[in-house]
Amino acid sequence: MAQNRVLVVGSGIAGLTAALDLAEAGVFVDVIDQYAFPGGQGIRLSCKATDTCVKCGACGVDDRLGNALKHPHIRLMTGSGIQDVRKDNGFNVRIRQAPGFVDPNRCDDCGICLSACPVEGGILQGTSGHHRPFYAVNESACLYVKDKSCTACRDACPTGAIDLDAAEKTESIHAGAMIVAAGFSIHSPFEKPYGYGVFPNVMTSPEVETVLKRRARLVRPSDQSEPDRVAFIQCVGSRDAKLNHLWCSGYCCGFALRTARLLRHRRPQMHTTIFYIDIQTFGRTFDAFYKETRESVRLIRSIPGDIYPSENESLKITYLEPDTGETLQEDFDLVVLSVGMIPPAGLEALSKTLGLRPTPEGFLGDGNGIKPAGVFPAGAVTGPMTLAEAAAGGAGAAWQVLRYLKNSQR
Amino acid sequence: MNKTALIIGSGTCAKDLAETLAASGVSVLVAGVDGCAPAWGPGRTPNEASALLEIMDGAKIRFITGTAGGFTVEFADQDRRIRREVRDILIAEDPVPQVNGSLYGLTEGAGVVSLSAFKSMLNPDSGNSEAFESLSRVAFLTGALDESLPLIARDVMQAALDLQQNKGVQAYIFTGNLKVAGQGLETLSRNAKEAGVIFIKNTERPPEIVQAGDESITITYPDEVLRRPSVLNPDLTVVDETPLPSPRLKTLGDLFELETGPDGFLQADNIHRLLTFTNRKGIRVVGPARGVFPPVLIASEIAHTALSLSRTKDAETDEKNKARIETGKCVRCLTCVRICPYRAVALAPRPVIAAAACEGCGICAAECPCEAIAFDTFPSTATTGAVEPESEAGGNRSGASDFIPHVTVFCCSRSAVPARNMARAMNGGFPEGLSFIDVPCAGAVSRLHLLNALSNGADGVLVVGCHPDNCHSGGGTLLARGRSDGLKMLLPRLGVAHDRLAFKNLAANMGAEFSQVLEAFMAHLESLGPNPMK
Repeated sequence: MAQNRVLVVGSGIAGLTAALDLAEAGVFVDVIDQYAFPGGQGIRLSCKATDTCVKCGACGVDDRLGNALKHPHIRLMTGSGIQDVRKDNGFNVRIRQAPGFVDPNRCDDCGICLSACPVEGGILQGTSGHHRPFYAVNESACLYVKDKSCTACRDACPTGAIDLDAAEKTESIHAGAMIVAAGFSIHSPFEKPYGYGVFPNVMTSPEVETVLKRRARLVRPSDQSEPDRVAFIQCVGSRDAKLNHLWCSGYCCGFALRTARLLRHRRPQMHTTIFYIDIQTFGRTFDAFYKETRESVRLIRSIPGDIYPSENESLKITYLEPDTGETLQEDFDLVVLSVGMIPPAGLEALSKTLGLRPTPEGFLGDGNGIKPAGVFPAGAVTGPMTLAEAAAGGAGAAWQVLRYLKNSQR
Repeated sequence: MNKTALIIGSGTCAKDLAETLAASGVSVLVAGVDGCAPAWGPGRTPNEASALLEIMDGAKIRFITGTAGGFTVEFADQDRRIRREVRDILIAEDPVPQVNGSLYGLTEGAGVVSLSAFKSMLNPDSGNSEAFESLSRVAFLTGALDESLPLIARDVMQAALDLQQNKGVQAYIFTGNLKVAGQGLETLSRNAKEAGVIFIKNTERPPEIVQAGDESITITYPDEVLRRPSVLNPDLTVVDETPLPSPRLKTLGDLFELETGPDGFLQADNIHRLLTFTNRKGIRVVGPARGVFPPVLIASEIAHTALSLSRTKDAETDEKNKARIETGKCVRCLTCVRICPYRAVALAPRPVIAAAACEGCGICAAECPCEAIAFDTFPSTATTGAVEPESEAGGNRSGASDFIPHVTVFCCSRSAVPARNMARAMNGGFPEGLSFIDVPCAGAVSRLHLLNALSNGADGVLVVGCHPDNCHSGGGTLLARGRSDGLKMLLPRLGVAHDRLAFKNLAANMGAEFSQVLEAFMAHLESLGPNPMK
């Protein structure tokens, strides 16, 4: 019966939290995610602990995903999107699920498909023990899907786990309410004078997370060596009037300070520098953490101008020294851009389908005065926020959904 | 079974929580720990759900007994003792704002006010509009010497914007790091700047603030553009307030044996203590009782609490994962009572596991000196270390020797097991010779487990547990490390190299590190050779 079934769009921390709360209350939850692997952006984060936990919350996403996958009231569908929605005593939602190219019963995670694939990003790799199978064919990049011109992965797979002719599926779900927990996407900083995409050793924060996760060390893309001098540049794509990104993304100061501290702990000879505007508060013991980190990480209150190439693929950063006003230059082996959050891919279309109206900034905000009945936004899709805030938002939305379902039964 | 929720608090948060719960159909009893229940104010009665909302005013809380699902609370009202049965306990104490005047060397008076007092002045209902006619310059101090908070920055910027736009007063905001991580804060800061508010941010060289005998204030600060010190004499200086944990929280923490955070709030700084949960099932901390949070987050917490409590069916207790005390062996030393992080061992009168509160961590079993506590889900000490190593294809092995070390790896279910799954997915398998024993918490691995593993043929024993501060059981990982460190000192006396035993902290998402740790340990054991105890 529809009154006991809820559709959650997005399997990040907000969606998973909402789904678990609803499931515990006896509601059946379908969670759909447009990407191949569940867990949203949070599941891609690496652990920043040194001797003790630094409470970044990343492992909490893993924990929640594990619980959601086990819960009998929750069904998780990846590679899925909404095709259309009809109001019919609740919502009749038609969902399209991408073909399951990789058979989870046959795949043994050997990864040969990834090496065999000629297209960058044609085969995707998971980031968690809960991502089974660990590899997925990227429908939008795959050459076979495009014009049947390549079968390299299928041919190379030793267990015959890949079926490139697998068909997409559509199904209709009748849900009493919906939670939109579509999260966010990451700003791509090509417009900045930092050489992103041109200089190999300029990376974004999510790229650093991926390297740390796969390699347990940070290495320079150019030569896989560990850098001695690392610069973090904050607020890339956030607090930016030119881009009309008038928000603070909330996670980046925590990322930079925790990562810089971790790098120094693992490799004490490394020098880390953070270029910033204002350091934001994070966690519950921020003052002590900030004080301790400043002893080993250099903080410069200035956002760099141009970055030039230097020898051995290093980068020369130019910046205005805050006290004297001089223009200085300094070389770094690796530059990390702390990129901001932007509204998630596909939000415009989803908003039209559901009757939501994003704010001028593109996030859902507090509904902008328009609140279609039975549809509840939660998490970072409403505006940039941290993992903890998104989890709380998911919990809040679950409560609103339960009340709504109860009231609509009368 | 009684489904009443006891809300302990004396202020706004307790009131909001009580009203929300009562409106959701939950019976609520509201009391203050020292007898001070929230005042609903003259003429403001609790809302229409008053049949479900009972206020116990004037009665102090003396103690509680019981466990999740059924607590007994004893109140003292002068000479009377009142006992009430409740299902859940919610602590919602308002914070105590500390005016930061003394931080800047200022005393409140005519020229210096707190932010709350200033906000009241700005309130159009306060009838204070003439007060602003005599002001031309107002300085706000927030995070100029310490760190501010987004919720304080919001109040300061809104007040400054109001002054600038509506009252024709020049506002100055002195701060270090401007806190804008929060919905709408960046836009607010830009609007304030455009309206003419002057922001003076100094992290390296804070402003000098002097209050003269006649109460006039002089602020000397480095000006970024002029590159020399500038002086401001504001007509009024507004200092912010830091919300501090209420002193009642310490009383409650002791009374209920709850974990306290490093900041004095009633929740450990541990990501496993999500939202309103504490180390004790059935007892929650809401909003300002657990930390400093913006109103929108507190509203979500209250909503989440209402959701959990308005469930009509109680969560079923999974009997399988609980500790069992074998009464024939128990000598009533009460170690389990003291060591349980969840306070799940009751005295009735002999030690009895309260199944509703037991999280199955296994720490009690590991600490019990008589091995009187058993679990169904992982091996007792007697059966450990009958080492039958798994043989999984894949993985790396260094070394050309024929000796394949047999390694017993105790894996904490919350960190090592997920990390192992991730490692297996990334690398396709593990080297030969490994035998994994999964435990609920590293704290469940006792000294006997470790010794038996070694004496039964393991060449090396590795314990993998969570990082300190990330242990769901609070201190389980620290106990485990302590046992391992202690045993390492004894091993040489048995003729065994101490580094055949190792302890490692990992998190659930550290798959790559898990593989690296195993490889390094195996390589080291290869160089040590077979266990002489075999």
